[in-house]
Amino acid sequence: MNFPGKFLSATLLGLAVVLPVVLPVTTFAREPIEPIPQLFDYDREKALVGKRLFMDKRFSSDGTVSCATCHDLEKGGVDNMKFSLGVQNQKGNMNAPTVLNSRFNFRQFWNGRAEDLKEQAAGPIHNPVEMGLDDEKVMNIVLSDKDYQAGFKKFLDREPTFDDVLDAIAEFEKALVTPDSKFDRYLRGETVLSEEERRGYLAFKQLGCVSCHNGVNVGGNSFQYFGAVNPVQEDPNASDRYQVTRDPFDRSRYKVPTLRNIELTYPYFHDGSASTLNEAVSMMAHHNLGFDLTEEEVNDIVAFLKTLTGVMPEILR
Amino acid sequence: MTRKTIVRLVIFLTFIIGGAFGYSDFLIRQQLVNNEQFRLHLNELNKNQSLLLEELLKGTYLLVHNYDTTNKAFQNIDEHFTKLRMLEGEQGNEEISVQFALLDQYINKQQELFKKFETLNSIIKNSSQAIPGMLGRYMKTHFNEDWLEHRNYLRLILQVSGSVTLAKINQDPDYIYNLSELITKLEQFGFSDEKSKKFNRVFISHARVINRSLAEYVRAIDDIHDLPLRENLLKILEIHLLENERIQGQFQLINLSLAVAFIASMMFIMFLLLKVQRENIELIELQQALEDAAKLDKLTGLKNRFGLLQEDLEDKSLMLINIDQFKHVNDFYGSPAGDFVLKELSGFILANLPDTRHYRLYRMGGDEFAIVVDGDLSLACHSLGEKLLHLIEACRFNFEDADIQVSASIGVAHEQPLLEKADIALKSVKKSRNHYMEYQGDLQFEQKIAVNLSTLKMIKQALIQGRVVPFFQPLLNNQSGKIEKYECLIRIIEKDESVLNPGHFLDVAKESRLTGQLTRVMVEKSMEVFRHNKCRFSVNFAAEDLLDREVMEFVIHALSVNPEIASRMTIEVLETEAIEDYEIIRGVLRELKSYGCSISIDDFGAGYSNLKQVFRLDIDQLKIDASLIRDIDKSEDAKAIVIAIVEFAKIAQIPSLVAEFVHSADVQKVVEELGIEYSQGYHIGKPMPDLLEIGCKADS
Repeated sequence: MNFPGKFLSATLLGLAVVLPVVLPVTTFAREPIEPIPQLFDYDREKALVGKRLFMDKRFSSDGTVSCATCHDLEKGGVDNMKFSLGVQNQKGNMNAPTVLNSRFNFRQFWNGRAEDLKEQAAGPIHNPVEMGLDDEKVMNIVLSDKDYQAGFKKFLDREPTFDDVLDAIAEFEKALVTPDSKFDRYLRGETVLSEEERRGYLAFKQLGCVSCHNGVNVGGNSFQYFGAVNPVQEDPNASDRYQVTRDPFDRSRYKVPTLRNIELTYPYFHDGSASTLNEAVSMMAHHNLGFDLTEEEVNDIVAFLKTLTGVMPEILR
Repeated sequence: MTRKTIVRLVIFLTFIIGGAFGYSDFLIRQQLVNNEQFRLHLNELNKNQSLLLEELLKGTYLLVHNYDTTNKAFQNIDEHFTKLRMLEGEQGNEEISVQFALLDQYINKQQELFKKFETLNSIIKNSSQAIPGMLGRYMKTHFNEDWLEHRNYLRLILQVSGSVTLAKINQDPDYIYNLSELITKLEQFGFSDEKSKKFNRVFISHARVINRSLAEYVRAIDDIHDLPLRENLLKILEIHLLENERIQGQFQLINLSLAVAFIASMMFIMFLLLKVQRENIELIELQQALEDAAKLDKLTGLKNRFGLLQEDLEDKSLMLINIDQFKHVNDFYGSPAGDFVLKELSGFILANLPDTRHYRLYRMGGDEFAIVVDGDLSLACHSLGEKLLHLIEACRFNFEDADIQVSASIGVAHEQPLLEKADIALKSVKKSRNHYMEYQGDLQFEQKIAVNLSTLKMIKQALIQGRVVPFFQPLLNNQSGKIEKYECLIRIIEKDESVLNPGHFLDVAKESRLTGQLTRVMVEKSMEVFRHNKCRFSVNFAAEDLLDREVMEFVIHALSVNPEIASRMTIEVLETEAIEDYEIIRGVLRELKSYGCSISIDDFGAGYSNLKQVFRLDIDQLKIDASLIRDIDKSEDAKAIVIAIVEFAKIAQIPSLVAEFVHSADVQKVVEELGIEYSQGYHIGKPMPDLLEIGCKADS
């Protein structure tokens, strides 16, 4: 065999090995939305302790509220209320965002004041309107509970601290991932969209929804104005980004919410002002894109959005 | 500090230095690893910066974009920066800390700006995409409508669309300098139909978005580009490299000094080892010198007794040369003369040896020399010995005009143990007329020595067990015809109750210097016996006893506490011919007499007596020697001498005379005739363990 022949065959062999690996990755690389990874890491023992903590109503001043009260995992990680009810039935001022896929958000809370899930977890526990408990009381409960002790012992060789409690809750939340939605399977080339859904996705891109709702979480990766084109009259007490930075630029600026499982997480927006998905799509198109959509367009987009509903996390089963 | 301490210190230091070497090596490795990691993280920061700028670019021109990438990049930047800080924290360079603080600021600012950019980008993109789209839709829907009515409006929105597109693409707000004006014009447009009114409202809102935000959008992009992050990272790299160079230089210096210190301490240890070795050699030499010195006799320069003992005496012969009566030389001419003689003599003997290789001369100490003769020459000993004796006797040692003559005796041994046997031979030489004797191997000498040793043991036991006792021999007063006096004679009662005469033990006692003790016992026991009567008694004293301070103190004490007994006691001085210094003896005797006792000279007339000296001794009694009395009844000579002695005593005013060895009535008769006061002898009475019933006993 002469040299060029050798070279050619080597190249072909190389391609044969590389192509199957490269192709699935590159196929949808240009799409602004990425599928949720089917494999993701979390410490199961820790997450199981976190799961119990998440559901434990003792972690509230009157024993009525747990994390799951507002982030009901049966209801897509929300409570389907405009504003959640905390201890003593106190009403909050922000709509509870879903915990599902929250690990993919670049910040936590509507105004992004928490860097990560662990930091976020402390918020509602301490918030007098939500759960209203201090560290010491939380730890009294945890340390006097044999099941918690046994659970922590599985991954911790010392007495747990409040930090470990938050860590466990965050670990549980990291497990709350909903892969294998129809759209993800479409992106992976495993299924096709219906005509309506396809039109909806195209409109989603053409109208510019995708300029904010992109990435793996279809949102949750940037701050945007609520009413960028046509401003919305806002509650001055709303916890926008301005409350964090006091920069006038940040007025009515919020973390873009995820559209994953959006059909489950009604009502919509930070103030829960849209009770249906159609309503929410119309409002967004008007206020943030400047368009008033036809009913058909809205229906198409809603149909697309419904393909974003994934499979409930394994840890809940 | 002792040398031991120094050596320990140096060894300890060497270990420390070795340890420091290892530690330094460890630090260098760590430094290298840290370096690699530092560069890696720095590189990652750079890479993510590139990624961010790429994202920035994509974000501006792609209508559809994914912000996850920037978030991921920021997450990476955060991770690598944290690790970089941890690495740097271990070194703590101030310059780098400053740069890190800046980097931290820049990254936060960058993130903030990116988030701002993303917000504005979404709006701008949306509106800048919407405006030309709306223009197109307007043209499509109104193309066939009343052209004139919409002509101006179309021109206006075309103008808006054109400037917005240019401004967006070129990221230059200059293109929309008149957008506010255009918007005002658009707002003034009064449309009659709702559709057109709505269109205008939407169009205006998009134009407003551009008008309001484009400048800010461009500024955000410019601000991101203006952040001196790259320069900052480069600066950090530069400082890091410099710092690294400095640290490596330090390590080099440390390692160099450690190496020098290590080598120095090793050299010091080697130096100490060499020094110790050298000192050991010196010590060995010194020891050798000391040993040699110990083997040498200072006076003669000959090897001494130790030297001889170190020689291998196997198959050798030994000649011991003793100078006769050497004490006399010292006493007479003084010890310088004695030393002179010894020195000369050693040279003389050396000069007369056939050779000094086979005949080796030693000075054994005092007046004794030894010649070690190689075994095959043993037959030559005799002739050599005779020759040396002859030559020595003929030799005169001239010391300060005095010609000193000495004679010598030689004892020779040919068998082991040489020294002892030659000594035995020499001892027996001294007792014979010969001056040369070889140890012949007959057992006589050894037996004698054995007897001597057992006798000595016997005497000592007798002393301890109180078996040294006085026997009493009566003296007859020839004028009164009464026994008035006893001589106390020493005896040892043996365990089997047999009685030993002094002939059996006195010589050994003298040799062993036990006579003093014996004399003390005799004085003590005799005085005790005569305490209970009025008899006179005499106790024998050798001249040596008189010179023995201890004995004298004892006797004087006994005399002084018993003055009555002392007045009846006579001290008989034996062997007066051996007295060398009459002056001392006279003083001692005078002192004794002052305590009331009398002095008697024993064995007077035997051998050569120094009459003049005796004359001056102020004595009370002379005991005429047995040799003169024994035959006095038959020998005229003896009688004449005794008569002369009697006359001498009268002239010398010696009040009392005793005739010893009166063994018959005939002798007694002559003694009485000659007017000798006392008779003593078997004719009168033998020595007895107890006093006689007659005589002085009644007086008690």
